[in-house]
Amino acid sequence: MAQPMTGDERIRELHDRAVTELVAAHARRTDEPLVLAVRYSGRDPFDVHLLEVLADFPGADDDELLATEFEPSAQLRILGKLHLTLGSPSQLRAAAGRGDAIIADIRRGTVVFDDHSDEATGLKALLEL
Amino acid sequence: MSRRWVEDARPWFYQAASDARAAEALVQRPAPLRREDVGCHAAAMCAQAIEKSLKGYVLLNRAEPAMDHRPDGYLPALLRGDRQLQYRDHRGRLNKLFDAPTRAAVKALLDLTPGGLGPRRDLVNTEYPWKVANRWRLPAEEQFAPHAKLMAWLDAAKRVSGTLRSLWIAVDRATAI
Repeated sequence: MAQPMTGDERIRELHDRAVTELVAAHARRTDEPLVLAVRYSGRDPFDVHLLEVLADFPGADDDELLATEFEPSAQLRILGKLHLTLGSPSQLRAAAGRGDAIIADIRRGTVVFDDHSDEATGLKALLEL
Repeated sequence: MSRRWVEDARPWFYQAASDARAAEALVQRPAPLRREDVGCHAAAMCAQAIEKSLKGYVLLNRAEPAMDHRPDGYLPALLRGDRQLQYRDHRGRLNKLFDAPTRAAVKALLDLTPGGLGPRRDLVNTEYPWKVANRWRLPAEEQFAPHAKLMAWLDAAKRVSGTLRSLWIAVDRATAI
């Protein structure tokens, strides 16, 4: 007989499903196409952390990555907050070059999408993912 | 969360981005523009990029902006984080974006928009001739700004339109499942 899931396992399943749906929706977008998505961990285990690298994302090449957060909603079914970090490929390279604090967390993350472009391959190599 | 405001804001941000690109092209004086053409038209496009970006950002925050040329009137409340700012985590980014030089550029550009200072016919503006001391003057003959100032206005327009659109993109992505 299958063992009932623990609370932690339920949370993990809920969050895995939410991230899969979110990234799949974003991968279909043609405005600012998704190049790479990395899920990484933060301090709060109830929160979800996601980096998305978007082609044509606005801003200068050396702008900081944009860190935003969102409460759960009918569309976003997670327990804690979504920490969504966005940037262009150049902005991610600049953040890595500066050694921005978030980069260490991202390096320990998991790739949940890449568009199989040379750009994505290069960024994964840069992040050692 | 209702997607209505996110969708309503979209065209304002994308038209603003187009206006900023047009301003960037104009300062390079493509043929057949003359030297005297550049200032008024580039300034007008910079002002449009800023005006539309601010209106789009007000819509993103679930409010209908007044359809006038002074959406910078919403800035103090947004920068203070008053209830008009629905996305509290944006406040730091907004305050960094709208530093004193950028606020000065926004004011100067919106002051130059026809109607930006009210329905007067005697004010310098980027589009229509105006009358001073019984003499008509026109935008294309006016020295609006030295090149360095024009470039500073362009920089402000690009940063305002780019940053506010990036905040919209984040909200759009987080809610569009």
